[in-house]
Amino acid sequence: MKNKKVQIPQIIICIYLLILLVVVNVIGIPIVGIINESFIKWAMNGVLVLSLVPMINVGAGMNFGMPIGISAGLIGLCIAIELRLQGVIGFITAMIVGSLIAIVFGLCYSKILNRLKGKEEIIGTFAGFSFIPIMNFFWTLVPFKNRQMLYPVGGKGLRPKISLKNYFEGILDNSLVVKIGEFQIPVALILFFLILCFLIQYLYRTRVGHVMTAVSENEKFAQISGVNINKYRTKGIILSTILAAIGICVYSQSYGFVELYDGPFMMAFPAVSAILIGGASSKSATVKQVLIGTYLLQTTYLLSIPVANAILVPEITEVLRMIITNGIILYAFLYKGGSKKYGKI
Amino acid sequence: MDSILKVTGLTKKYEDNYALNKVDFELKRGEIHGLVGANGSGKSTFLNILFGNSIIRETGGYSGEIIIDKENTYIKDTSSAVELGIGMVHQEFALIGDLNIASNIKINRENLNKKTEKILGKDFARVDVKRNKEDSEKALSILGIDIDPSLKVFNLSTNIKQFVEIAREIDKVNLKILMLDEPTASLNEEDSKLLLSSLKRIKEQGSSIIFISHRLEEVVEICDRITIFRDGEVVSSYSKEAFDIPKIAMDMTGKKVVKTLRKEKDIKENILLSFKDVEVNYGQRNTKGISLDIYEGEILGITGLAGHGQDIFPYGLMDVYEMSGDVRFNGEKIVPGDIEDITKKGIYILPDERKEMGLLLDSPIWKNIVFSSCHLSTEFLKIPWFKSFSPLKSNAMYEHTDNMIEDLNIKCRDKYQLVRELSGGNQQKVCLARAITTKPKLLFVGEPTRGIDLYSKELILDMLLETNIQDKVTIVVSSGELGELKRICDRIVVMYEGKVFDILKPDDSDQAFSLAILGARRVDSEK
Amino acid sequence: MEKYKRYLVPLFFLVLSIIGIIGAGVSMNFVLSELYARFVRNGIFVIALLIPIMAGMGINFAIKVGALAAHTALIIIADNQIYGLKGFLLAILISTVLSVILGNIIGYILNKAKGKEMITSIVIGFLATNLYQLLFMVGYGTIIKAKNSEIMLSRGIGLRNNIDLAEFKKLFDGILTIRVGDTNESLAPVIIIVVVALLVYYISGSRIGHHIKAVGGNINTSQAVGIDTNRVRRIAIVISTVLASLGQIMYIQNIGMLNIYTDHLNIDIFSAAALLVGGATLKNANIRNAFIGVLLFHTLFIVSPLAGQNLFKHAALGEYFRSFLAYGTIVFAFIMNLRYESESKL
Repeated sequence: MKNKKVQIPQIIICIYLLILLVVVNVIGIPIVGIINESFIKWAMNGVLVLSLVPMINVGAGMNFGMPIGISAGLIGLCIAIELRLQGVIGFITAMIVGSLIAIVFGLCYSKILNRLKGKEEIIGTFAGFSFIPIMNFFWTLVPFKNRQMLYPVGGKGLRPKISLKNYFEGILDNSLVVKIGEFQIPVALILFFLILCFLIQYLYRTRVGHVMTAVSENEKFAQISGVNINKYRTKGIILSTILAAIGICVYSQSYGFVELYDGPFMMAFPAVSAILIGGASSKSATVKQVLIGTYLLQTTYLLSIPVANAILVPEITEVLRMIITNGIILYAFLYKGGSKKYGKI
Repeated sequence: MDSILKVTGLTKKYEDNYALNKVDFELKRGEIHGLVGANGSGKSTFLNILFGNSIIRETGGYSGEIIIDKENTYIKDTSSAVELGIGMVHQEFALIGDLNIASNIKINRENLNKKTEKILGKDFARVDVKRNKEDSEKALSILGIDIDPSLKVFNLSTNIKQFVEIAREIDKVNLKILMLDEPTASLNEEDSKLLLSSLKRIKEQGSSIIFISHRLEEVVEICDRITIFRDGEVVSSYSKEAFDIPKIAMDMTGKKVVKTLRKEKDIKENILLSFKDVEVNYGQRNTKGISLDIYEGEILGITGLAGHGQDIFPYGLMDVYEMSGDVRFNGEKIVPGDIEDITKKGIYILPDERKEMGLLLDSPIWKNIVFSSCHLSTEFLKIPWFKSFSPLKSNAMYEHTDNMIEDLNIKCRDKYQLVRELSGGNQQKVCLARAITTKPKLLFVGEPTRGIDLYSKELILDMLLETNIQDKVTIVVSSGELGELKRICDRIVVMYEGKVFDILKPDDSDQAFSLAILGARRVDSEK
Repeated sequence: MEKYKRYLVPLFFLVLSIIGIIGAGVSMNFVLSELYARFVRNGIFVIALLIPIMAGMGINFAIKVGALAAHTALIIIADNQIYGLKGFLLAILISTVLSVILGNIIGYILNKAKGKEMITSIVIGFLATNLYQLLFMVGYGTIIKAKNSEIMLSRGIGLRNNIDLAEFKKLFDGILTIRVGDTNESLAPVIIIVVVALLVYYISGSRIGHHIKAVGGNINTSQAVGIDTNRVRRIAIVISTVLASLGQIMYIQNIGMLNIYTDHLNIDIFSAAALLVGGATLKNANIRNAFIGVLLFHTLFIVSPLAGQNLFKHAALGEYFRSFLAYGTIVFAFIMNLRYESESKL
């Protein structure tokens, strides 16, 4: 009974996916192209979804404050561009710098969340939202010199969309592409994603991971057993923030642009939705759920584009995408551990 | 006098345990009837059934007959109990702090402005604050309290809150039966007297009262009759002329034939852990000046009534309660609340709330057994040099779990079964297995046999003794089950109102224990 | 000391506003006339947040849905080309009916998500926006046929971004005119807002109001004394949604133009921030907080881009500052309130 409930979003998404596939077939769009694209979308968004796992598994809920980690990654990207580092070196620099900044951001973020246990989701949402204008100050005032990232007019402040063309656009997407017939598999991209997944999987086989999952399952139990809860929560939150920073680097190299300002505003929602589709709850999540959830959600997004174009209303893609995203999150609030019984009496 | 309430054959089962077994009870019109009994004797369940508490319905309802005012009824929920004229004053205040006294007294029975009610309907009618206030004043004056009903409740002292709560009940027009669950527990002597005299006045107004208290002197003073509960059954019932405190106390605890399990040990008074003049905040209580020494190698029992602080020592150490003061372990000072340091030094705690705090219910047995050792020692680390980031030795963990399952005879499918699916007794064994695995120097165990079937109880008591003697673990057991403590403990501490009231030998008389538990000095009992 | 503590936040914002006004270098008259417009546009939203707070449900971010009900009503009016006072009243009627229905649905959902009402109401707001977009971007022209082709996009599917409602803007012209700053304004909208405020005040003194406060004080106790807590919470949300829809109609009336897809977007955040600026907490809010908050918050809103332009030669900075204020105030309120909540539990 309990297991059946968990899978309802998956079932709905699968049915929806099938319908879209049929429609796409009827319209006559080549399915191979879509499958090729789906691999890229999967790994491109996968790291951001993966970044939710450490926080969930330490009992801090879904990380709606993802814009904080993303901002750290964006700073890393901008610094790499400012230093005019191209190719692999640029990409690695962006990730390293982004991660370092994410440690600082994550530490501050965890201080807030540890004071307000049990309300992480609403706090995270607004912490993330309010971080955007703070970063906007930074983007506007930072004294970077590389003209390719400044506003073309006036030459002050970073532009909202910085092209990565001369730097590391598609550095993972286009390396080691294996062609099998018509299929193209971006091995480097997928490998990078899977290695990160493997590392997280490994984490949960170590002592730290062992303790973290216990904290999220039963905080009181962990406390009585002598676990310093806040220490582990802090570790989990920082790790999530770092992964979000790396995630945006991977995302940006696929996308080809670095999106600043209000770009990261709503990025947490599709990620949360993806992991929920995978079958995660706000108390526990696995890497497998990340892999499945991301693929399902991103592929439905992908398939709805040609369908929407065919009925002449391109805006509908975005709307449908948001309906799926938000609908799944709302469902999770209502039916997964949302309504705890009040009190004992 | 005819009876207002007559209960016959009332039975309530929680899973496999009888909370109430064929209870007969009669409340006469216009009497104050005292209910006494130790913790878990079934008094609260009895009141919960009469007041239609939802927990009764959710756990399968009750069986038996309840006749109120000559009418046979089934009480299905709180609102039907209220309709039948039953009022209840809870142990914890059921008041809303943000509202004023009058609103609390008249809650859900507000006086409404007739004109607006006619036009806008009941919901949107204006509340007649003035009449609410008048009604409240009237109810409060019956209790002998003179206070402005427009004050907010959260500012009031505990004793006034208690009176407000009673006022809410007696303001009900159809009140027939008033039930009070330990109304004097939070009052000082003077206010208790005031309350008792106002109860007499309520009685004179025609309501019948069921009164629960652990303070026997009060019960004897105010009640017309007393019924004693033990283990879910009514053991005896006395009317006014036959009241005798020592006898009632004995009835409460019962004479138990105790077969001592323990062998005489030679315990040197070598202090392992000492609390000296510590202060503890728990619930809404604050207690100062608590001292206790725990000797190396002993099994120390801690007993007392619920809420009197049997669990302050382990919970104070582990930051569940706030504790401060001088605590020494092996002569070395430790800081209460520094949980990592305390567990590393070898103090381990198995809490009384096993399901809430003592287990990872949705994890497999093996994780529950090895968890603390993984966390505390390097025993199960594959590459200890990696410290926390070392992978775990799964084979060693599984092997150890298998051994434990065999040694402690844990009944399960296999080590991968979820702990939630095990019976209470086996869950407790899993807890013990975890504690033993960490090889502690001092083990605190809370209510080791609560909710466990008879057969497993014996096994668990045996296990505690074995751990104490063979593994040389000092054990502190807190439990309300005095009989069990007497069987395994070397010394028994009796807690009363948050303090160490007395330390008794297990072979002291039952009477000495029952009186100490109720807070009466030993000198009195020896007279 | 305790007594003055709750005025700290409003005082802080008062100081900020004064600095902002000086920094922007604008005349008091300009500020006043802008403030009048913003008060009329946003006053009722802030009042709409009060009752859910009393019911212990926190800030109802789903007031967006009420705004969408108002949009729907206005679109129906525009489609049927019913203008003037008749159209205005009809719009209010339709949007109220819609809001009652939607409010009940939201209340039902929030009752299922007890303890997580605020985040759930945010997601409800987002989801409702998406469904609304689906209806008017795709539904019109495919399933629903518009009578008034002017509101349609030229491709025949979906509504245009703007609907001109200048007719409504003139509605209050010449009634009870007063001089605000540099312009002549009607007093009528202000009177409507005051009436709404009085209505909320009345409700809080009614039987349902008493129950709302009881449920907000302690839901378990309220249930124990026989109050149907789920119903009370649902009614609180319905009232809030209805007020929000009225608020949105006032907003659009004042602007005279309906931006179908964007007009409702940030009202939840800005209204919440305004209320909190006025000294409200997540557990305690009254009409005074609402009025003080609207005035202070919107003063800052008016002057901060200008101050940014003036002081840093960068209008955008002022804009970032004010959106930081909106979100930051909410985070700050969470930190202060929820910490207090967890402390008082011990």
